[in-house]
Parts: sequence; structure tokens; C-alpha cells
Amino acid sequence: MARLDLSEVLLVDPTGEAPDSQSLNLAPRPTDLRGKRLGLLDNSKANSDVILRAIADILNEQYEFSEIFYTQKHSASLPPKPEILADLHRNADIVIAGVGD
Amino acid sequence: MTSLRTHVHSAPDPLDTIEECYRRGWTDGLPVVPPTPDRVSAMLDYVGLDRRRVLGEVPVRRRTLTAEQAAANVVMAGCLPEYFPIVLTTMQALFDHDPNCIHELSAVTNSTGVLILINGPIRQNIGLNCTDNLLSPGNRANSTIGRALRLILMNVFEQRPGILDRGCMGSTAKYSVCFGEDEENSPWTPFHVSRGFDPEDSTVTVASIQDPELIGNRYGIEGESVMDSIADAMASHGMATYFGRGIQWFWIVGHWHAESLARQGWERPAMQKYIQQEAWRSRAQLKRLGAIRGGIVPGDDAMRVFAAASPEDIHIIKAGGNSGMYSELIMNYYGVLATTLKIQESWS
Repeated sequence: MARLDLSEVLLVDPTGEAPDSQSLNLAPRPTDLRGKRLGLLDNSKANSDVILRAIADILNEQYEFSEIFYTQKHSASLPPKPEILADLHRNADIVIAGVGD
Repeated sequence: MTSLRTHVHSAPDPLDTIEECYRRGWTDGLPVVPPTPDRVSAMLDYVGLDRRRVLGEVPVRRRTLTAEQAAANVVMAGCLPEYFPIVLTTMQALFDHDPNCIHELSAVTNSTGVLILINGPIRQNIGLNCTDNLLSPGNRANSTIGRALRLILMNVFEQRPGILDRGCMGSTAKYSVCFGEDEENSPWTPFHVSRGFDPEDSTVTVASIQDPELIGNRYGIEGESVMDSIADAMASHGMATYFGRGIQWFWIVGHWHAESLARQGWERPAMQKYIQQEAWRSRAQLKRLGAIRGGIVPGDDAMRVFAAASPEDIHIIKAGGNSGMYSELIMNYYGVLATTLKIQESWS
């Protein structure tokens, strides 16, 4: 053990280590929304479906999406299950995640 | 010992060392015991854990909990080494249930605390309060075990108010809700035995909870009067939004309520069934509140929405003092439903 000066005390760090930010990469951003497949991810709260579909309707007038794919999380406070993410990956080019209440 | 992840603090004065913990943002607002290497090592040695051992990961936050981090927070909370197996088993229950539920505890805006209910011989070994004032400050084991869990959530998983803890009103239940069942004075089978454990097993039951509510029925002569008070509180409009979502309930039956009910022959299954049947609101009432969407249609007045889906969703525990006729009701928010594990003494 390293010799400590009497005026020093060691404290064990009780904090968690921040995740490595390098390991997360954003998907390439689309340059144009026209004709894309729009995904809607409802967080399962009341009225989340209402606001997401309203937003989709407004955007659809401008961008004429080729498809609007809707899906829902099983819990507002937990991440989507892997199969929901796989569905979105398979069926959508862009996704809007929304919260209602 | 030097391999522990440490910071050098230049000040020999113990009070200033506590201030250093404040400066580093390591506390829950109350002073902490400085996590010096000797204290942290003693904690790890007690359970036989290597400091590098990863106890679990919260995938959605991509953060892990190591034995060293757990021990440092347990030291800071003021725990004795004998309490460490309880904190470790509590974390194990959360990781086993769904590691992302640890994130959920703070992501929800309704400010959930974590109930740590202890059964079995370990209660006496650590001097846990199971009777008078069991939810009050004043007993080291009750106060520091729950606090240790909170410090782990804050320091390791960043569940700090205003950052990842999104609680709206917050809760005093976030300091510590840890107590034992008063098995010695209970007329009924110990709670852990009712869940399949042996009487000599020491167990911890973990659940995400809302604030405990006092049930002050000091007037009921019949057992039904006491249980009607519980059922009425369960069916409270303030909680109606959770009905039908698989929530559970803890009824902490106070001494004289338990004595009265047992004298009249009430056993746990019959009480669970009675309360489950009485704790409801009509679908029409919930629609008027807005807790259920849509207009009222014929039949809604007669349609019952139950606060507990089944009798087994009402957990009955005998605990508390004998100075008056009281009980406590605790809603188990559906994030972490009651999970009971045997307390593991050795982790090597």
C-alpha cells in the first residue's frame, strides 16, 4: 500500500462508470423524407396513439409516405422489446417515438 | 487494498472528509460514513466478494454494478457488514426480475420507493425492528439497509432527482422502507413460509411501492370493519389509474387488528379473498374520473373494476406496535411485483 501523508485520506469511489459514448453510433440521417416508410412507436400511455397518428397525418400531407407502420411498447417506462425494434427496423426508414398522457 | 478505485482527499479531519463526500455529490442529503479502503474491504471480506465481481448490468443505461461500488455505498449508508448480504440479495432480486426495472424505478414520474421486507432468523441477528414504530427513524438496520439501496441507485445508476430520477412529487419512501415481519407475535404463518420457504430460511421480499398509507381503524369490532377500511383505501380514486395493470398490495396488519381478526377465525386466504372482492369501483365511476377513456354506456354502473385482480395480489404481513389499532397499506406498483429470495450469506 502506498504510504499516505497524515494529512491525506483515501476514499473509494462509489459511483458507476459512464458508458463508453464511442460504442453508440447514430444511423445516417435521411436527406429527404418524401416517399419514405414512416414508423410510429407508441409508448403505450393514454392518447399516445392519438397524438402520433395526428402528427403522421400532418407530415403525410407534405411528404406522402409510402407506408405508415404503427407499433407499441409494452411499458412506457421500459425500452421496447427486441421484436418491436426488429419490426421497426424491417418496416420503417424513419421513426417517431411519442409520449401521451 | 490499493487496487480499489480511490480518490485522495487531503484533509485528516473526519468532518471535512464527510464534507468531501458532499462536494463529490455522493450523498442523499444526509451525512455519509466516508468510504475508506479499510471499511470497504471489511465489507467485501464479510461476504467473500472479489471487488471486481460484476453483480449485474442495467442494459438500457449500459451501466454495471461491481462489488466494490456496492460495498462503498453500503459503507456510506452506515450499514454493518452483517447487513451487506441483505442489500446484495435485494439487488439480486431486481436483476433477476428484469435488470431494466432498475432504470424503471426512476424513469416513472410517480416516485416509487423500494420495499425491503425481511423474514426469518436474520431479523434477530441484526436487531431489525418489526414492531413499534417500524416505519420510523431510530433503528440502524431499518434505516441504513434501505438507504444503502438508494445510494447505489443514485451513485451507480445516476438516479439523481432532476437527472434520471423523474419523480414528480418524490417520496419519503425513497429514504428507506425496510422492516421485518413480527413472526413471533403473528397468529398466521410467516409471510415467507406462505410463499414456499422454510421457517428457518431468511428471506428478503422486494417490491416497487408507493407511499405507505396509515389505516386508522380504531373502531371496528368485527373483522369485516377492519378489512372494509383496507378495501376502501385500495379503491381510492387517487390510485384508480393503476387498476387493471396487475398491481399488488401489501397490508401490514398491526398488532390489535391481527389479534381481533385471528380471534374471529380469519386466516390469510379468506382475508385475501374478502378484501379482493370489496376493493372495487364501478366502470362508470372510473369513466367519470377520466381514469378510463370513453363515454358511459349501459352496464358501466354494474361493471366492477377491481383494485387487485386476484386474492393472491394482496400480501398480508403482521407487523407494527401494540400501542393502538392501526395497519398500513402499501401499493405495489407493477414495475417490480413482490419478489422473494432467500438471503445468501456467502457470495464467494
